[in-house]
Amino acid sequence: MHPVLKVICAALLLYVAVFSLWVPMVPGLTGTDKREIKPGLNTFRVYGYRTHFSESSASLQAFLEGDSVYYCTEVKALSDHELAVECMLPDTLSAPIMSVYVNNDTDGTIYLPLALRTTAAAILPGKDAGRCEVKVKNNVYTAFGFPFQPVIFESIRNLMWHVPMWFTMFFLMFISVAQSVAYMLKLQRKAPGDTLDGQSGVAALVHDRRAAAAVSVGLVFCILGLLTGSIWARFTWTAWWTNDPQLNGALVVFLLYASYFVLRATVEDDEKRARLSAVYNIFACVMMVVLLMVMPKFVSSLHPGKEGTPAFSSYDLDASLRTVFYPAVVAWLLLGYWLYNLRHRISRLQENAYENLQ
Amino acid sequence: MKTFNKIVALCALLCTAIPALAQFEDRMNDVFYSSGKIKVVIAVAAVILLGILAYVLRLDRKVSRIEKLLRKK
Repeated sequence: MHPVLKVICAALLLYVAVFSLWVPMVPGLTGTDKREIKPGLNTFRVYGYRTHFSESSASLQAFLEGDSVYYCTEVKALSDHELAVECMLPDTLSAPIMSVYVNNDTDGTIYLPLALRTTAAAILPGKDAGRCEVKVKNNVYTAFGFPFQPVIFESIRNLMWHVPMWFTMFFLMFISVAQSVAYMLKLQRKAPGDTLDGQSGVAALVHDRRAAAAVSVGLVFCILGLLTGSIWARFTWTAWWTNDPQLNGALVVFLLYASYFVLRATVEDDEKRARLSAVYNIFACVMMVVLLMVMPKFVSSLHPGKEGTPAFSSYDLDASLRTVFYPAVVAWLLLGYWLYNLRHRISRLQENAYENLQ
Repeated sequence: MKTFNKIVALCALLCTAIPALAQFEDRMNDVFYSSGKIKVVIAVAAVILLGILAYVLRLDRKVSRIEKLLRKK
């Protein structure tokens, strides 16, 4: 690996480690004290994160939205992060579930989707009664920051940690399968009549060593991806593991590649092992593509990143996230390649050392 | 066999810790759901760092083994 690439890798990793944690979140709403609304007067609290309710109390507005918009007549800032809201609702509402919107000049328009529900009111979609007469402002928060998403909150930063693990694993497994294919091609090109332990057969073992090294490092990234995903799931989906096609697919891929090494351990003969594991590696790679790239697009899943390229599109990847996410992907791909490079050089040295010993 | 015994001992130890685990779970929720879930990010970054370090240690051990082989010669 070229030294310049190593410097770039180190610099990018530093950049990602610093900025994935340093960039602030934009303001957002985290919750309400009540979940239920009813016709008549409703009073509830709204909680904000990194908001400036007191500071911008002069420009505060709050409204409920569900098909129609209902303006909240009384909005009082208890602190920068807490609002007391009073809202008069008619007997007939336009939707059973409402989102809460809060607006002020500093934070812009922020909202909490599907925060309140009603069972007491009659529902008539599209009804205009109680429709907002006040002109609702729709500001945009312009300062640089990561988008604030409900439930995810600050953990959106995991995008720069968890997702590159999988990108790196894919990258390494593709390197590995390329080496396996190269091994098979070299065997085919052998002159007829050559025995397997002929000169070209031994020379081709280079590719086998590289394939095994790439899977070895790829498996590390797979394990890290599973562990970090599990931690993230625990605090957004409230379970360490959910029976989700994407998650189970990832686990199956891990087991597939783990058995690659089990297979290698069972065969004594170098060339036989190389041939068997090359064939198995191609099979495992096809399974990986099917399980992690193709199948998740056809089934429903909690996991984001199903439409288009995995993990790219369905995340609302706005400019602020991309400025750290893309460097993160490049950094981890470089580190993965670096580790693979070290790993196969060590394998080569090990073999040389054994040969010298004999 | 030695490792197997160790694993059995570890499992037995973990079984005795089950009542404590529920308490640990509560404590963990307090910590990780506070301050906008930033601690989830810290935990994830720490796991990745430790994982990479563990792999580098493994490579280190392999290099040591090769050095030993070369010395034997």
